[in-house]
Amino acid sequence: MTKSRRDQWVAIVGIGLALILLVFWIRLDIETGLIDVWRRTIRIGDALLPTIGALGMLFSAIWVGVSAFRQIDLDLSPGNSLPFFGIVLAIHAVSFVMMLWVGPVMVSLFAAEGATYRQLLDTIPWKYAGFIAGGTCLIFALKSLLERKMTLHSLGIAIAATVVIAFLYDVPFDTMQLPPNGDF
Amino acid sequence: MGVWDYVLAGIAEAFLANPALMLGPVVISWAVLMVISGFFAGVIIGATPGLSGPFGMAMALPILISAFGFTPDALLPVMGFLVGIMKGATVGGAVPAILFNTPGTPDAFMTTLDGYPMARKGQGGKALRVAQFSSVSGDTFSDLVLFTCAPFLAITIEKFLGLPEKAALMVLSLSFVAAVVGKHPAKGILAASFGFVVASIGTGTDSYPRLTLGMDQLASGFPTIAVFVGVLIVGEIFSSLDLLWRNGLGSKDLPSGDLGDKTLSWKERRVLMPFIGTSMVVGTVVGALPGIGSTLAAALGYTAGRKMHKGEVPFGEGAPEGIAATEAANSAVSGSNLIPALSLGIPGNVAAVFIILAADTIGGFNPGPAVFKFSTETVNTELVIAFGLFTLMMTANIVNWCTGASFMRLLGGLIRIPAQILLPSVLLLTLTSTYVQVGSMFGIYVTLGFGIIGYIMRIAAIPILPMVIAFILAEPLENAVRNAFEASGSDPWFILQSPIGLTFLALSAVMLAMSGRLQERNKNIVSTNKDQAP
Amino acid sequence: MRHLFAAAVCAALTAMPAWAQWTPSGPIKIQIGFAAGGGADTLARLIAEDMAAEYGWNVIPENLAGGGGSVMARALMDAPADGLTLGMGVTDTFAYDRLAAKDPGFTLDDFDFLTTIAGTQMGVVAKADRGWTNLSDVIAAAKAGEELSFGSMTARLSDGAYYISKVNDVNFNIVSGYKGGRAVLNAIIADDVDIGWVAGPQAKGVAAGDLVNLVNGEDQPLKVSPDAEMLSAVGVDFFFGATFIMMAPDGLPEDARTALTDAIATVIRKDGTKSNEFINRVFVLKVKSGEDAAAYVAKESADSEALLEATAN
Repeated sequence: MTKSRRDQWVAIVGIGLALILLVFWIRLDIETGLIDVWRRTIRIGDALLPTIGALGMLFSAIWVGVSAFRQIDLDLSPGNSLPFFGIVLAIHAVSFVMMLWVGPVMVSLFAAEGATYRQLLDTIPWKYAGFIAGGTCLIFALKSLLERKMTLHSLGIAIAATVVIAFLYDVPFDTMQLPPNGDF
Repeated sequence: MGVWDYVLAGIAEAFLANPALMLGPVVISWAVLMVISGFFAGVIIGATPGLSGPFGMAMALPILISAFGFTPDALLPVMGFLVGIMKGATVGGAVPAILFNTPGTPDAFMTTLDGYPMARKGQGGKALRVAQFSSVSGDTFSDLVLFTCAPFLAITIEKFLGLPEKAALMVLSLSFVAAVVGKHPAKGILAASFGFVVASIGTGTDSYPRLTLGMDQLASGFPTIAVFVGVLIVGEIFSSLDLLWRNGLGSKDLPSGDLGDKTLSWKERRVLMPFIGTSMVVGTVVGALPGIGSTLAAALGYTAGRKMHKGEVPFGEGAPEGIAATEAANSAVSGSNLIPALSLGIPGNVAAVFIILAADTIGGFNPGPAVFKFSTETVNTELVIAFGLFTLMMTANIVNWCTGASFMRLLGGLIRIPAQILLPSVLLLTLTSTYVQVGSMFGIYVTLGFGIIGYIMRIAAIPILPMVIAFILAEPLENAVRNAFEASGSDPWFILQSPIGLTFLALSAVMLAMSGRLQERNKNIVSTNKDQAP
Repeated sequence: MRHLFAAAVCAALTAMPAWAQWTPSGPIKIQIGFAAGGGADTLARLIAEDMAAEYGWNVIPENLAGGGGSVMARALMDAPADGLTLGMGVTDTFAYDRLAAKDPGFTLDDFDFLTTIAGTQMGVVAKADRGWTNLSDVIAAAKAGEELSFGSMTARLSDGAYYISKVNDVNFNIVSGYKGGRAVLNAIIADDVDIGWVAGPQAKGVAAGDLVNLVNGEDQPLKVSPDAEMLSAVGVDFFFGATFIMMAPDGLPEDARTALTDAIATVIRKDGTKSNEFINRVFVLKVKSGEDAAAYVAKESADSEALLEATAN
């Protein structure tokens, strides 16, 4: 990608976002206008601040676009990062699903009949199950991706790092909840 | 009682009352024990990406109150611990900023600009030493200003600042953003405007939280911590992962596992002194004004330092002066921030809120004008407590002077962990720290979303800092303007009614007009992310 | 006080045979409708701690701030009614705020209100050096042409300020943007506003003689200034205090409801517990349990409806 092409994209995205804000979002999703009349008093409405922000975005994005045409073109491109970044996001998605659901699934498979995750989310081992599974997955997958190989050693390190982080929050503070226990 | 009697009584109160340990003839009071443990806890909190001092204080307060109860004896230990966290977090924030390019707290962002390049050159140890020396100097100076000026300064400031003046002051502080927008002002304004839009979501005064698309999770706005952590830390981790993937492991761009020379000679300190001196004055002034905060102070200190700098290593490429200018400024906010808190009971920032809350809850100490009445007939016990608190603050500073550097070096050992283990682990640590604060997976999703935004902004060479500052200042600015407008009876010209307000507005205009020239003269700066052009 | 306590214990014992003693089947979560770190948050966390200490239950406090408590209310009503999820909020959420919102998303029937906990010490406050001793003095000054600003931190209180001015045919510049309990007090001390609603933190300043409670916003005398003018003296028959209340999703089994209500009411009333000590220091104890709690919310709703009607035109 060249520098001017990059800045053209910045301008297009900026102008697009600003227009969506001005034309739809601000008008439809705010109850009071720029100015609000309440009990015969004139007050500043909720729409003022976002409108100023959106106008600022519109104006500066146009400016970026205009100067993109005038600048000396330089080739930036160090290669396309999109596929790599797609994999990174997919790793996050899988890890978060594990974080949320490994605990409940384990409870339904292994815990006493009729017990729910809600009842066991403050009990060892259930309280750590989702976090350790999801966290290990995240660290292991990212590390393996960077090294372009999967090893047992990596898995061990990922588990160790996740356990250390779990204890860092869970041991000193008994009212702090590790993921995903605040969601149940 | 005279002034000195009060000072001595305060020192005695801090050191002797309420003993916790007796080591032979040496008595260690609970207050001293708590301020020291608060300090070390604070360094760790600040050094943990995603955790901030105010969060540590919010978590600690109910625990402290339940541990020490409501007796007047509890005041100094509880407030001491909170002050300790505040001081520790300020200095600790520099550790990950220097070693991993991920600021532990938003106000350490500018520290990454020179700290990380130094770490890459194998000077991480020296960078940490510079950060600690500058931070503790700024902090100590600010505390001294607090001790000497608290009785009268806040009252004078408040006398001159009514609601319209406060609104004008917010406009002025926002215009300082122009000083930090980087090489390309259009992109700086784009970033700042985007910060406004993000800050608008879920806030406002109507019973329907604006721009939330009916989502309850957004009803109190994007969690501030998730936005900061996302743009500043996760975005940076994504960039680094990308770099590692493209260049392969063992790339020259990463810091070497060695901290290098960890000393700081007197000669080196002398070179840093003008930068530290300027920044600590900037930070102290910003701290004494209501509602502006340490991130802007750091940005101003850095900008001032850049203008003064004539050394061989330019700012942004690993100049120790850049770290000094930033850390002295953001640390100097903390002491003077307590000036309005102690002498008027009005908190200047979030950290001060918790100190006032602690005092309110425990009782026996009511931050306000009465604290500083030097009554000679009867003993003003609140003044004794105030001097006790000052003593504890100085104790924390002394601990910081003596052990802060070695403690930071201990944390600096983390640099030996290879990047492919460190980055994913810091990522999980960061996501976990937003989760424990927000309390649901939603916090993690927001962090990730803003991480992606931060990563895209880095690729597009849009500066991050204007967005962060605009996001921080949007709410106080909107509130100040709203309140001033309503108090004036809805007069559209309210802000022009006073000479002070007019002066602030004129200064803002000058700032904006000069920003072009500021950028001209300093080609090499703060574009806050190195524009990826070759 | 002791009678009340004894009565509650008797009632609890008769309502609940010993063999049916309810115990929670897992950790109890208390969803706090306020941000972490404030007075209400601390209160909820201390109650959780006291319940854990007194009954051996595992009680986990969680913050769920936003929308003046309505976010917590909507989340709570969707939680299972098994006694493992409770909510701690303020009556305003269920009365004035619910009625003033276009679509609050919940009704009073969605909850089992367990017990009220504590009340505020609401008053209209000014600095003592302004020379006013009560709200009538302020109204007289406004009538004489002085332009006065009136700070407030909630929609209900802004409406209250407006109603006071309307009934007395004066004009206040109502400054409605303050957030949180102390913000208005700070504005008064800094001379940003002339007078304003403050819910309790004014007590120490009033006791020291720096501040005045111009009028009592509560339906009972203020602890620190029992002789403060009543709102009825300026022609207002509404009250503006707020009450902290604990609730559960609707449909809680009878034994769980009794046990939980009893547990909360016991710990906040018992001398020497952390929550009791905290309430006496910062708020006033206000315990109305079971039917009385629901009736209290219903009464405040009816009053709020009347206030909204009176200020609507």
